Amino acid sequence: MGSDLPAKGSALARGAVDAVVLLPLSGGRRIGCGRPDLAPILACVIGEEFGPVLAAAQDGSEAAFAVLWRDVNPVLLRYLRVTAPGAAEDIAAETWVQVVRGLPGFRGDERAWRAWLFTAARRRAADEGRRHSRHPVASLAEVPGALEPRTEDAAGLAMENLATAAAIAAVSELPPLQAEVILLRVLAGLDTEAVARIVGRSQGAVRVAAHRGLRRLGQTLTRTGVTL
Amino acid sequence: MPIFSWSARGDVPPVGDPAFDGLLAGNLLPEDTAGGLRPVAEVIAALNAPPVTSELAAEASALRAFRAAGRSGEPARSRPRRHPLLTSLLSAKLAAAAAAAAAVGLGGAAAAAYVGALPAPAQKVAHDILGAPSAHPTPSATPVGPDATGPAAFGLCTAFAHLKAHGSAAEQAVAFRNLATAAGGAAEVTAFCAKVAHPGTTPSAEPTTHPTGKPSTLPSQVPTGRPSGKPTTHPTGRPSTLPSQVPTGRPSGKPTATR
Repeated sequence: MGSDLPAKGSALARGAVDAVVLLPLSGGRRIGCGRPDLAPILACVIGEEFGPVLAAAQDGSEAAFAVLWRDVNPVLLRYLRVTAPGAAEDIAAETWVQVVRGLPGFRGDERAWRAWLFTAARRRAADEGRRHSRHPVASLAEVPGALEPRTEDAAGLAMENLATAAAIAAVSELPPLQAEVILLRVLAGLDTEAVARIVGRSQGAVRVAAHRGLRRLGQTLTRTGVTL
Repeated sequence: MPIFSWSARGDVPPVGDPAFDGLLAGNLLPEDTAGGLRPVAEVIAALNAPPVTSELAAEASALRAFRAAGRSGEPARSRPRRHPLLTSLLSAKLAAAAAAAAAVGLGGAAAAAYVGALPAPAQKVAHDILGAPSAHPTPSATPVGPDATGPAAFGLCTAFAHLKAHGSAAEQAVAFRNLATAAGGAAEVTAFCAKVAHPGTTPSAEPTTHPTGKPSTLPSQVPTGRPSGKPTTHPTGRPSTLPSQVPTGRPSGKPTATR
């Protein structure tokens, strides 16, 4: 998938070209990070180059570590914005410090790598007791200057942010377990088995929670129409 | 102007519908869906939109943490550990705040369609920074990347070798620009890397003395993880020694229950 995706005229497909730091890699199953011609449905995944890149990072290559970081940090932040609102950046940074320390001893494929990262972030969020401080989403109208029109290019960049932010806000409305299993599935790219291990539930419970969450999401969005 | 096109109304599938599994696995695109499933598919697609600047703003501090941990090929172990990590955390937050403010500040007309679209943290950051008189709309930090003329060259070359075959935007990444600069041009990188020695093979002579005695300091870190597997061997047979003590006293009470 990827190259056969139609270049939709939507904000999602246009992408935030200027905002994206170029990734040295474009391989993998879910390509297209930062490439407007290849709108991704799922986040960047390094794919078959993961092994060599990991090995280079473990050998001390900063460039290789940067590839790993750029691949996961955005989705890690989006996960934490739902599960630990207000502390996402802090917890992500702390998670990477922990990951750097454990990097030489890590063994596993990309799925195990992502499971490790999200597990570390989840534990850190729980340790800090921040996970249950779920804040209500504030209104954009309260931001001074946020609604003033700017240039076209800037609007394109911001729309990308807003679409993602709106999606994060919508998922944040779900019960915590439903929100978390959905995010671990679609952001971390983990299967039901891995998610079940991370959240400490059975695979059946995870599957049901994910389906309930998606159904609830669909009902909410359909009921409220365009305005989210 | 709506971003999500969920004006279409329709029933949301019941829990257990296979379409949900397709969405969760990333196999179902918004244009493949209809009815109540369409908005859900668009939310999932938006969750996985390409990264934006605010989400990559902390890269420099992440790399500093990488260096501080002594993983960057250059010997950094003599440096104090705590300070660089704290610095990294702080600057990560600042950089993210600056980038978030830039994104929010440039919100534009499209924002009007998204009342309530921003999560609380971004909201607060935006408020804090947009309210400040001297806020700059764009982060001023520019990624510098590792110094390809120094000890990082070997690691860079190793990564470059892996990436080169795929011909993506590799040469444009900051680290590879540095590598190209050190090599004297993008075309020279391959030749340059061929001459970079593995850090472990650089010394031309064997050390003439060997350390003796014990290390004077203990390792500063203890393992934080748990063993991931079970022991591979199990005890077999009986213990080779018997307990060295036999009970010396008498029971102090009577049995309280009988059969």
